[in-house]
Amino acid sequence: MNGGQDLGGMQGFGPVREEPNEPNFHAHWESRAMAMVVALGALGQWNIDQSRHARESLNPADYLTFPYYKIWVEGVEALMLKRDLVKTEELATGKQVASPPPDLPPALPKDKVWNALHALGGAADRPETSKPAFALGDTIKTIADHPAGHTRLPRYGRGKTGTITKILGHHVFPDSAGNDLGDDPKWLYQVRFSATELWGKDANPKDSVTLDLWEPHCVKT
Amino acid sequence: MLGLPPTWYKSPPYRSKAVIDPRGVLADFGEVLPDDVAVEVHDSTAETRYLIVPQRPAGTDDWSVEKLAALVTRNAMIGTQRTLTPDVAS
Repeated sequence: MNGGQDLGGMQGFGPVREEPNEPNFHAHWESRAMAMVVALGALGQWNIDQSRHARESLNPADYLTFPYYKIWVEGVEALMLKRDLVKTEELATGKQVASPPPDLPPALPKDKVWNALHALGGAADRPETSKPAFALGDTIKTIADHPAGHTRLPRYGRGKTGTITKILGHHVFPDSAGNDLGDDPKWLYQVRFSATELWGKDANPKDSVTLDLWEPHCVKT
Repeated sequence: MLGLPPTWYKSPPYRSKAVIDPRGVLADFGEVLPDDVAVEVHDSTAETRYLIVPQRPAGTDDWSVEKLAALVTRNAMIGTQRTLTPDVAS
């Protein structure tokens, strides 16, 4: 979806500013927010792509102005509401009004969160069930759709011509998994685009951008 | 592997600019590249992650692996710091 997360190519945000000796968290609530998201991940009720989709479904104006971990909290609250794991009233009052489903595994205890955080990003590759349709060096054109649901093909990469530069494996397809349609694994490629193809005549002709794209994003030219 | 990402890495200025104006991002970090040096941006849109192996600085030919490794910074492996100098580490 064309949400607040799809920032590539926007202009006017100003320079990138590095904070010297930046702490991991700037406020106590940020570390609690992150720990809660990790702990709730152990419930096994959503995958990483559904988590991303929940965050990008925020109103773009909110996405661009909320602190980073506020976006995480909003995302996990939306997922819990959707799965009926929490009630709006409970979120508002902090008081439990309904029992959790009896077959729900427990959230991670506090002492397990740190290790789970480092294990995040579990393997996304899946057994091969087909041969890749593209070979190294093939020229492809990306599709130019604007799906309302989750996609990993950013706006700036749509309808562009590029070259297959790596075959990365057979991976979960986020455009399916993030839309509650299952893993539906597809071949994943690294695709190189010249900066002038993406950004026009003012780009340096020596420069390029690669995107990691799944087979359904690409059409042979 | 590199720990929690710094705030700038998750912020709109970096996320918007890195793909359209990577030379401008490098300039924000004090790295000004000549036009004849090609810039290759990797937008990690899958679960694949890209780590940059930094360029070996001049004058370090007789350095051990451990001593060289001590020069490497997080930003160098993200790709926003090109110049590693022996002075920086000491």
